[in-house]
Amino acid sequence: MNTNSDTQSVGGGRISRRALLKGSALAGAGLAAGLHIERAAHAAGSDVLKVGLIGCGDRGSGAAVNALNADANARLVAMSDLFAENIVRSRQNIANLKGDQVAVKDDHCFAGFDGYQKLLATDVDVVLIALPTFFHPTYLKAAIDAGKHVFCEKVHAVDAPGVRMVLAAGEAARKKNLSIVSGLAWRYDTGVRETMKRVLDGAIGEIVSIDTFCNTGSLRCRQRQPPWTEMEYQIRDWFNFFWLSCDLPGLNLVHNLDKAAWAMRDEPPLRAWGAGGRQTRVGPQFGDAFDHFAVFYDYADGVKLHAYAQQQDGCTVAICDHFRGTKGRCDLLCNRIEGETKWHYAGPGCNRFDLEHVALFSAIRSGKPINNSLYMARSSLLAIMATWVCYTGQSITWEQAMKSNYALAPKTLALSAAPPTLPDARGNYPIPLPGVTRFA
Amino acid sequence: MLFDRSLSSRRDFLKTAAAVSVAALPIARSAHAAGSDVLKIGLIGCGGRGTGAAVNAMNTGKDVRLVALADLFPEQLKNSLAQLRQAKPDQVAVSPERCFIGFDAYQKLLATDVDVVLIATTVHFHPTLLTAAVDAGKHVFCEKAHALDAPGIHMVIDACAKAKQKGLSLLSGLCWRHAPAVRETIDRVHDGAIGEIVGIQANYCVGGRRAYPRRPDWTEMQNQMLNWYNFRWLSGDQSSAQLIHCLDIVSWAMRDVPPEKAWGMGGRQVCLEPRYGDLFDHHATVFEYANGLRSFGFCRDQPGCYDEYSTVLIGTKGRAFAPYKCWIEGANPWKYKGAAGNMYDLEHQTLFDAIRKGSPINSGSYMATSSMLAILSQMVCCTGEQLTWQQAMQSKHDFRLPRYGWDVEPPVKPDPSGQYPTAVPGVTRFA
Repeated sequence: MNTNSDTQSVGGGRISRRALLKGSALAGAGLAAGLHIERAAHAAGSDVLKVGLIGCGDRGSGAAVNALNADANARLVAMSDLFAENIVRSRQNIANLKGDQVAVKDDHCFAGFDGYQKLLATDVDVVLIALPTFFHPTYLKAAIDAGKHVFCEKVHAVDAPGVRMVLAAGEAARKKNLSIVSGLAWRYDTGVRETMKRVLDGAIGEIVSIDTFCNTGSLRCRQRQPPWTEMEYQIRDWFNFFWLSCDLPGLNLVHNLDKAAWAMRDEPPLRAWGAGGRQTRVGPQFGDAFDHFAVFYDYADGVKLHAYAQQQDGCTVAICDHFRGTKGRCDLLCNRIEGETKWHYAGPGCNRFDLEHVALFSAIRSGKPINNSLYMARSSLLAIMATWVCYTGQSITWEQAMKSNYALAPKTLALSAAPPTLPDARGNYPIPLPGVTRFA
Repeated sequence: MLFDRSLSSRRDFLKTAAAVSVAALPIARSAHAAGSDVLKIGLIGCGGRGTGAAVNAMNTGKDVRLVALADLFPEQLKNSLAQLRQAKPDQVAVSPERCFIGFDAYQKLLATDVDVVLIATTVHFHPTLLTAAVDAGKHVFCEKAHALDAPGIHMVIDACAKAKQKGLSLLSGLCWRHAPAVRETIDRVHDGAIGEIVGIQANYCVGGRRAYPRRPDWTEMQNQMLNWYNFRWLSGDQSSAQLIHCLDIVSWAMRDVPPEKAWGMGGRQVCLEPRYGDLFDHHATVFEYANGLRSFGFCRDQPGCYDEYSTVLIGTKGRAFAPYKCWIEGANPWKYKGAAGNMYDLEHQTLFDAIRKGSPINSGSYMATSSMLAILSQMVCCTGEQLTWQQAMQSKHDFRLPRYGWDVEPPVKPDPSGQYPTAVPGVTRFA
């Protein structure tokens, strides 16, 4: 792992990722020897693949169903979450849908901040990671260290040290013949893939400009409950806290940025700049999140990417990815190409959430590992840049972003511990001020 | 008290002004065609830009004489006159009885025998003054923005048409239209140097909006008039105050065909003190043109942030950049190497040459459209709604007051803590 992320200290100190990983690293070491053999055995295709779910919220539960849909011989055998009741509810919901494929015994349910370590110490083959984003890079690395194949939800990191962990985990997975599939699901959508294939083959010529929007209504807020500590409240309401979610670019816009990155062959931009703020979602219940972002990216060859995100009720809804080329244009979500080449995807629809798991399980079965880590890292950094340029009002280069050691994390991970942002006497959280807030 | 004047409605002003001067004027105008007479100019609005405009006008020839001034505030008029006398001692001939103060000052100025008026007041008054000046048979230079609402835009359109009928010149202060480098850039774009335009950025991000802390002896109306940049009903917002320059260049590149619709986002994130009035401090507007082309209008006036003042035209064969540095990259690379020129002098040269030659110039083909682009930006960012050009043009929302005076309550008032209410997208509705 990257040493920078171990030694930095922000605002008086942060949790050491190394400390967080120690337990799992040990567990991984114990298992590592036997694992290559175990993985290879699945190539036959008929064996049961044991799945562990880390993060039993809606998306995690959904991912588990998608995984079980994708492979009839997949069995959900272990679950972990920060909160025990999430596991109970999720296990029941998944069992209702997937009956026999759910075989999670009580002693394979692990709650708490170290639940993932206990899960990784079991004999699961595949883990599905879907938590508040803050935990993703740490858990991803631990899972690879433990010799597991991984499906990891987006966004994959909330800061550059996390992005570097994703890259390192990707490298480690390659050496261990482990698969990593990203929850950036559009990459697995049939119509989008077919369309993108043509764009990359030159159907619209060279791309010169991209417009991509994810402007929707307000995202959810969890109401604070009396027994919750501040840490518990923030984790349960994680959409509204930057340190947990990377704000709207991490929650939503990353999908758009990822599609743009794909069209740009995953080459990074030179820089980004933009503006944002919170104008309608004001008050303690909205944490420290902005409600709108407008970001421009400049690429080396002069290509401009215009990315907007908004979460405001009663405002214009705009969701699209438009690529403009020298010979035409592409409306990606409509699977349509216009200009010199006219083409429209007319094939059947698909469930991209199932398909990403089909890809993962096929890779495991065929013994040909799939590894999405490069674009996972880069698209996540695009989202991190979007957040940062809007928070600071500055122009930030890709290089600056990639090298950044800034990370916001609690000193201790415990429900009784203090989160890295705290409300003032009136319950309001400090909000980024462009021109004042600095990128570090 | 200088400010203590009872005022009638704008419509009454206009009637009076029109009645006074219309009959005699076409003859007076044609006299200048000979080129020998002195051109008498009057300045309405004696702030920094107005004072600058008067100098630009006088730079066009010794035959230009400044003879009358009008402003809301006597100190401002006095300061302006002193500066102008110093800059152009031979061309300033303003007698005390031709210094007019107050909300009706412009009427008195228009009732004098000035040939040309320069209008550079608080934007709120521009359409009214422009209309009155044309009705009074004056040639006009009018600073941007030209209006803050759709009714004002219609007044501008009507004034331009009327000026044409009357053989009067009417020139807009959208100054980049007169900058040689930008003219050549747009010419090249129109000639196909970058192929078909497929994307546009119009960026006006510059830190720090001028805002004065309120003085205890000011009435609320005085405070807002002196701090007019910071009130939507007086200045529009940054869209009308600054971004309009980039939107105007975009519109020019688009041959002044308006977009079909627009939507946007914005807010007040940093400029939160009472002196910043009711404005947003950033706007991100998306203008959608007929062929699906999008123009991204982007402005920010928060201090300490990244600054970017540029118009970027993205084409299928290259990109064109303006206005401070003008160049084209791609299939037909080019860089402007000519003289920069002073566009403010050049715009007045164009105006006064037109007047002297008796071949009137008229900015009507673009000045209303470009002003409306800025208004549309404000409308969509404040409401969060997507609006068609047509909807916006048909808006009845009118910032004008039934009556003006220092005793009048301004339409926006501070709360007990001194804060002015801002727009809330999704709640504030288009009208």
